[in-house]
Amino acid sequence: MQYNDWFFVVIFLPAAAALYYLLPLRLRWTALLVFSTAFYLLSCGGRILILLATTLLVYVTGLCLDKIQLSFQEQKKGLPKEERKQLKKQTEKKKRHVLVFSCILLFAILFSVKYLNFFCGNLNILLDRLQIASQIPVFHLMMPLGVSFYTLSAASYIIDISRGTCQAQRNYLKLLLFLFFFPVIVEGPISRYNQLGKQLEEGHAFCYETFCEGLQLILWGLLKKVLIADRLSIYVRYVFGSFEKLPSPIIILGVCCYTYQIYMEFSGCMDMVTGSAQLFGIRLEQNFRRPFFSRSVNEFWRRWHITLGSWLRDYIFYPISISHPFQNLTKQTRKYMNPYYASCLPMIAALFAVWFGNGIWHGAEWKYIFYGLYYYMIVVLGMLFEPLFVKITGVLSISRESRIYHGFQILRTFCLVNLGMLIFRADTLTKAKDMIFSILHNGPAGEEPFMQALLGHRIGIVEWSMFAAFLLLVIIIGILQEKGIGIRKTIGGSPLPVRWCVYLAAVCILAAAGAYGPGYGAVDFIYAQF
Amino acid sequence: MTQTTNKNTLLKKHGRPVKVLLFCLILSMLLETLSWLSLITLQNPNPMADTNARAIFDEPKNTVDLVAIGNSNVRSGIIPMQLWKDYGITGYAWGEPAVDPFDAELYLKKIFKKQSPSVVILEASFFFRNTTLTENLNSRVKSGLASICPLISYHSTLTKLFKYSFRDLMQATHSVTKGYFVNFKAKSSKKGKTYMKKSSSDDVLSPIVEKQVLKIEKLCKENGAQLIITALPSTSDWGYKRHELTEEFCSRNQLEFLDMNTSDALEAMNMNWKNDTRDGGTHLNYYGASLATGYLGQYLAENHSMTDFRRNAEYQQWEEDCQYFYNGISQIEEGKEKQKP
Repeated sequence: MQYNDWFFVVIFLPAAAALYYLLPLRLRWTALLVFSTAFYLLSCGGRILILLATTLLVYVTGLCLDKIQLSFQEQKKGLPKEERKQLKKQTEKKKRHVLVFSCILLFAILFSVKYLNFFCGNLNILLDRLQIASQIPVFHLMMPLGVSFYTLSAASYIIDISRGTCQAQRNYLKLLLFLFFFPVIVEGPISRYNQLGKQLEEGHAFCYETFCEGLQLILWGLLKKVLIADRLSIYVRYVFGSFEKLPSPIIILGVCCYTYQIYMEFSGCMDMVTGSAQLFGIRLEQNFRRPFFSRSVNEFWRRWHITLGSWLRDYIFYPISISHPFQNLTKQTRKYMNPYYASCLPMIAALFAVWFGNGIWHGAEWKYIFYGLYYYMIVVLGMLFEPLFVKITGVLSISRESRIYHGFQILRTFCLVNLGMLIFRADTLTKAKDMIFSILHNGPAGEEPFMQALLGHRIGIVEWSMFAAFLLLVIIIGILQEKGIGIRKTIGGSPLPVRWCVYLAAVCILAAAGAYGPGYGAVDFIYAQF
Repeated sequence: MTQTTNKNTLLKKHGRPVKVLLFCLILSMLLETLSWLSLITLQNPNPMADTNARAIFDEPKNTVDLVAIGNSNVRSGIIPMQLWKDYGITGYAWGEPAVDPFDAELYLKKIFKKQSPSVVILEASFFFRNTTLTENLNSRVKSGLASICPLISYHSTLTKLFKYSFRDLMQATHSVTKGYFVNFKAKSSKKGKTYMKKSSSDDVLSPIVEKQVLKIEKLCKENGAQLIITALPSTSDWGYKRHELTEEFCSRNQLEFLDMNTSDALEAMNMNWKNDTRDGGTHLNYYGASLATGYLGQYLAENHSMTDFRRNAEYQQWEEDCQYFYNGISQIEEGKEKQKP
């Protein structure tokens, strides 16, 4: 089931909201549990068993970790300081064992449903190259819905318990609800138990304002997805499918259109998700913060898919970069090299794990691994050459705080991100390479004339104008938000006729000009495949 | 002061439901207006709006004796005027791109209010469009909404809206093609020899679709019509597994099934997949449709005693429409001949 399905918008979501508010406050979480189960069963049927098993593993781990902690609390009473220290050390060790064992099992489930075929396929190629006749059989395992998302949420839950920043949930069903709450199961945001779990358990009283805000967000998300992203996908599919014969500017336009499409689609989905959760009075974490205003790739990833970035930061980057071996390495290398570069070493190592993880999280394909490593390369080079950039701009008397320099940085980031998107969208890594080659060699006149390539593929002047107008709207809203002006608050505070005109126009435009119905097959959410 | 505050709070409390209702009312009025606009632009792919199909409601009451209902294969593959010319059958092709069984039932209900056909042909390729429960639920909701607000069927022709003048929008809707979509293009199909061979396929006939087809059959029975499940020739929309599944379903439920994709049928029709399809095998062109309609007509003549209305004076308009239709066809064919070097 998709968040822009008729059934979801017209029946499922209103029914869930109705049941939620009909139940007494303390039982309201059960309405979410029932509807989340229905959502999951309707979306992927029997594969719910994998989710139930994962939840059981996480549930038991949480209880074990809690028990170890409680027994430590009990035993430490009355012990001398030295023995207490010793006991703490033993407790930490025990907790680490439980945690490592559970994490291995947890990620083994993810590996077996998502990466096993990729791994076996590559192993078979290797065996073939080594002229070894035996081959590993290919398994046809179906991926459970949202496995990449709920696995990360589950991992964060048990790690947080072992760190003592989160309490274990003693009710299996409540934990299950946290992992597969229907608005977040398909595309995230990747939630933390402390943030979402507690909100799900508490019953929320009906608040008219929050409810309306939720509806507004759903509408805005639908506009992004159905009006823009799904229509853009037609052109993107055409450009990526026949780039060999197209003029270079058209291929560049196609790549930019893909960036526009994926941004509209993913952020639109997040708006729908956040809005849906708000109907129940639940506030989700922000997953996008105007990423195309970023002045560096680093900043871009702090504004794009924020919850994935923060997960990788908290559970991969920090543990590696502040680990004893890397701290010792920094200390040792400082003696022989520039302190700046010495301090970069642990970061370079940790960043490799982060970007490799980021790449492979997106999918079991080499192009995704390369996609992650592409960003790794940019980030590391940016870090290593930073002193040089500072020097150059100093010599050229360029103010790094001037608006022109900021504009240059934004444009540079935009270009780098687009190149990343090309790798991300291309069917294979070889195709991505061929496409870059075509951009460089096809020139302004390809096999297909420019105007025909621009207007001859179900996207005419009206559609291009619509894309441009909506893009302008998104940019204006973005600028206002960057300045701290909340656009929804502004509309909400305007006189009733103005407010209504905005809402009515939005619904009518969506209904009349959205890309759905005959001739437009439902376009799956890109991130739902991950 | 307290009294005024209480009054304001009360107003706020009771004003909200009124505001919500008013908002919904304005919204539905706007959507209805846009729906009307989409209908009269004659470009709505929903047959309730498509001139050719919608014109069935402009036919005199109880004059249409055969209704063929299904997806775009129906409007591309059945020529009602040929059935009239050869057998005197008053037929109508009611095809909607990407139709689903829920739409088909809704449309049929509307048609039965005005017409009482003795035969209803249900084209089976759309049985395999929705396979999962979610897809079927989605279709159910969509077709229900589209019957209230046809705007939601109208999307593929956004740009065409700007090409219409008000006069265009107000023109009459009488159709001489009776729902058939004339097309002379030819693009050969590469799957002509293989598509009906036994092969592994993921096709599933969903129990929800089966139930819906049985509902349609019941509706036909209640209205005195005989239902025939048919599969028009299509190398993309049909295959061996689909034939097998539909045949099994029909025999299980004692439904009449005519598959025009079997080797015997294709041979009898003399179907040539090089010249008789307009888009590589999905839809038939005029020549392919003539062959399929000829085969269908013969089948009806042999298996159903359908009335020949050609000598009935009340059906004079059909004769005139038929002449007009074939004159148009001749003109197109002459034009094509002239264009040849």
